[in-house]
Amino acid sequence: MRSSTSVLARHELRMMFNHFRRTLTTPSMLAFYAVMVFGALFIMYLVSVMARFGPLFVELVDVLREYLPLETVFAATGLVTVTAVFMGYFGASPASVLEEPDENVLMAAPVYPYQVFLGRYLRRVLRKIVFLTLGVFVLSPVILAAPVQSFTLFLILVSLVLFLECNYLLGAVAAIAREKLSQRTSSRFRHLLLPLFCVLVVAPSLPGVSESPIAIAASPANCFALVTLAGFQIQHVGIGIGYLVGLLVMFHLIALLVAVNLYDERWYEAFSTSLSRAESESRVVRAIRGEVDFSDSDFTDPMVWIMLKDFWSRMRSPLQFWKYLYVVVGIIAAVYLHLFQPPWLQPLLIPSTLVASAVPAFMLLIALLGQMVSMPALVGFVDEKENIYLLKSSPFKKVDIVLAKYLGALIEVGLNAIPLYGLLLYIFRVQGSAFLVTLAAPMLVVFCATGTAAGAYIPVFTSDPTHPPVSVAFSFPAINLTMAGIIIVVASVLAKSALLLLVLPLLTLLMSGILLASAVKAIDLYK
Amino acid sequence: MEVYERTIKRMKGEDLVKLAMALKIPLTEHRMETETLRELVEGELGRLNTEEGKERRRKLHNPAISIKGLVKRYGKKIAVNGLDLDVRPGEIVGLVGPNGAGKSTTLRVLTGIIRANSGLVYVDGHSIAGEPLEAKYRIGYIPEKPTCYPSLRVREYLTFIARVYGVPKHEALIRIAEYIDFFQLEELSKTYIANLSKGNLQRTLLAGIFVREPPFVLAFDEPMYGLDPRGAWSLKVLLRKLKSEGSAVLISTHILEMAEGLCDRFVVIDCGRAVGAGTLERLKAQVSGADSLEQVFLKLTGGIPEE
Repeated sequence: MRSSTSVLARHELRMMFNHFRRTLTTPSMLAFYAVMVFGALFIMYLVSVMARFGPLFVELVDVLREYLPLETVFAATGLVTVTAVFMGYFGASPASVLEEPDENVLMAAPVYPYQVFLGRYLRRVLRKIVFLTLGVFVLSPVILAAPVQSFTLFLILVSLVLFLECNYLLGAVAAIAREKLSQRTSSRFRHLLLPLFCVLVVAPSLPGVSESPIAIAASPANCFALVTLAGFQIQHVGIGIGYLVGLLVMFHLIALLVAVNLYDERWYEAFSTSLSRAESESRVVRAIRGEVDFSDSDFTDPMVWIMLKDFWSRMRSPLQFWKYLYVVVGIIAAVYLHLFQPPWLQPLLIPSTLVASAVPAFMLLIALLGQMVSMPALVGFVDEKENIYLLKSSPFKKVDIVLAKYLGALIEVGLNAIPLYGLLLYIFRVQGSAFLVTLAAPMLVVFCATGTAAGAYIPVFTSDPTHPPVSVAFSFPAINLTMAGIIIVVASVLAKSALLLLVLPLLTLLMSGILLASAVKAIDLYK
Repeated sequence: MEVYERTIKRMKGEDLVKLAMALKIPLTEHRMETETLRELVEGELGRLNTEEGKERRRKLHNPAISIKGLVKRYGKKIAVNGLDLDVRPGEIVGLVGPNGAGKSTTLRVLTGIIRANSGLVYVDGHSIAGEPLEAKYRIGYIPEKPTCYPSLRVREYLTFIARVYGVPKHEALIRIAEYIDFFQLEELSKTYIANLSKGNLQRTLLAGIFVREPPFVLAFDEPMYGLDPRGAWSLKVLLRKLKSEGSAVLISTHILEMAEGLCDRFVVIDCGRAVGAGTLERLKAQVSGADSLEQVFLKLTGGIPEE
C-alpha cells in the first residue's frame, strides 16, 4: 500500500525530463537558450581576451597567499553558514520545497512527508548541478585562465554544491527545531535556540578554534574554505582535497538524514497556511506593516496607485520587512566602516602593480552585484500572478503599468544596492578607481529596465504567469551582462573626455527606453 | 468485470500490448491480431479474478467519514469551531455555507493537509492524526482551486497517481483507459497539464481520483468547477452510480441547485459551526417558511435579504 520514495523520485525526474524535452521541441525556446548560452559564452570570451585574466589570477593568488589569513577565510565561510541558519530559522525553508499542486495531490496522498521532501530535494540538487554546469560553461573562457586543473575545478564545484546544501539543510533543521520548541513552550526564551544554534555551527570557524585540526574537520564551512584555497593553490594545510570533499559528503548526508527524519506534516501546514496567507504575525511586524489602508492615499495618478499597491502587497509578505531592515542596518554598517575602518574588518588593499588587472575585475564586480540586487525588477510582473490579466484589462495605459513596475523596482533595487556597493567600495580598494563605482547607477537603471521587460514577456511565453520559464529567467542576467559590457566599454573609451557626461546618460536612457518599449509591446502579446 | 470487458473492447493495440505485458502474458509471436491479443488479455484477467476472488468487494467502515468536535484555528481566528459530521457508505452529503464559513478548511483537515487543533477525524475507521497513511489511502480529494504538475502529460499524471496509490499495474492500465474515456480526455492524454483549460484540468484531477480501487471515500470541494454542462452531468451520473455501489461522498459547494438534486443529506455551516443538518425535508421542517435548500441556507446563515 505504501508508495516507495523511488516512485516520487521518478516522478520528479520525469517532470525535469519533460521540461527539458519541451525546451528541445519548442523551436523558440531552443533558439532562446542557444542565443543566451552561446551569446554569454561569446561575451565572456571577449572579456577574457580584453582583460587578460591570466596574469591577474596569478598575481591575485600571490597577494591572497600573502595577505589573506586562513582564519579570516574560515570566519567568512562560517558567516555564510550562520546566515543560512538565521534565514532558515525565520523562514519556512523545509516547506519551500513544496509546490501548489502538492496541496491537492501529494499532501493528500498516502505518502510520508519525508518522501515528498526527498523527491523534491533530489530535483533541487539536480537543478543546482545543471545551472552550475551551465554557469561554468558560460564562464569557461575566464575560468580557463585560472591556475587550476579541470579535475580540481570539478572538486571545487562539487564542494560548493555540498557546502550550499549543508547550509540549506542546517537552516531547515533550525526551522524544524524552532517549530518543535514552539509546540512545547510559548516563552520568549525559546528564541535563545537561535544564538545557540548559530554558535554551534560557527564555533569551529572562529579564530583561535579553527587552528585545531579537529575544528578544521568539524565544519562544512572550513572544509569548503580549504578545498577552495587548496584548489587555487592559495593555502594548503596538508589535508588532501579528496579527503575534504569526502568530509563534505559526510556532513551533507548527516544534515540530510537529520532533516529527513524531522520532516513531518507540520510543513504541509506551514506551506498550506502560506498559500492562504492566514499566518499569524508578530506584533512588531504587524505594526511595521501597519495594516495600512492605502486607499486613503491622495494620489490620483494610476501609475502611483500601481506602485502603492505593489509596495504594500510586498510589505505584507513576511520577508519584505527583513529586507528593509537589512537596508537600514547595511547602510549604517557601510557608513561606520568607511568612517572608522575597524581593525576586525580591514579593506583589501590592492598593490599598485596590480591596478591595471584589478580594475576590470572591479568593474565586473560592480556589474555582478548590480545583477544580484536587480531581481525585484524581474519579479514585478510575476508577483501579479493571474492578476496580470486583470491589470491589463483595467483602464490603465500600458505605459503606466510598465513605468509603475519599473520605477517601483528601481526604488527597491536602488535601496538594496546602497549597502552592497558601500561594502564593495570599502573592501575592494583599487587605487584611484573608487569613482568607477558610479557606473553602478547607469547599470542599475538599465538592469531594472531589463528585468521589467523580461518580466513583462513571461505571460507571452506561458499561460501560467506565476512561473517564469527558465529561458526568460536566463535572459535576464545575459542581457544585463551585455548591457554592462557596453556601458563599461563606452566609459573606458571616453574616460578622459567630457563627452562622457553627455554620452553615458543618453546611452542609458536609450537602452532603458528600448527595453521598456519592448515591455509595453509585450503586454499586447499576452496569451 | 463488465466495465473491464467494455474498456478492454475499446482499447487499441498498443494499449493492449502494454496490458498483456503487465499481466505477464508471454507474447512469443512477432505479429498478432488485435482480437487474438484481446482474447488472451480477457482470459488472463478472468483467470486472475477467479484466482484472487476479485468478485469480493471491499466494504467501507460505517461511518466512512466521521468528524467529531473539530476545531481549527489560524492564529486567533477560529475557522472551524466544534464541527460534527458523519458520512455513511452509500451516501452523498452536501457541506454548504457562505464564503469563509470553514468548508474548505474542514476538507483540508479531513484529507490530512492541515492538522486540527482539537477534535477527532476518521476516514474509513482510520484516524487522520494517528494513521494518516491508511486514512489518506482511502480518501480522494478535489480542491476548491484545482492545480496540478504542469510538466506532466495527462496520462503520465494518471499513471503517477496509480503508482502512488499502489494500484496494480494491469488494473491501473484498465482504469486509466476507462476514465480517460469517461471524462473525454482521449485527445488530451498526451497534452502537458500546463496547456489544459480549467475544465480539462478538473477532468484530469477527477480521473486521477477514480484510477484507484473502489469503493471510494470522496471529499470534493466545488467538483463542478470549470466543467461544461455535459461534464457536470456525467460527473453527477458517476457520483450516483458510486453511491449505489457503496462509496461515501462529501461535497462542499455553493451550487445549491446541484446539491439539492444530488445530496441525501446536508450540513449547513456558518462561522465554523454547524447551524443545520439533515435531509432537505428535515431542514425544511426545522426552518419555518423555507421551501427550498436556497431558502434554508439563507435563513440559517443570516436571513433572506430583502428585495
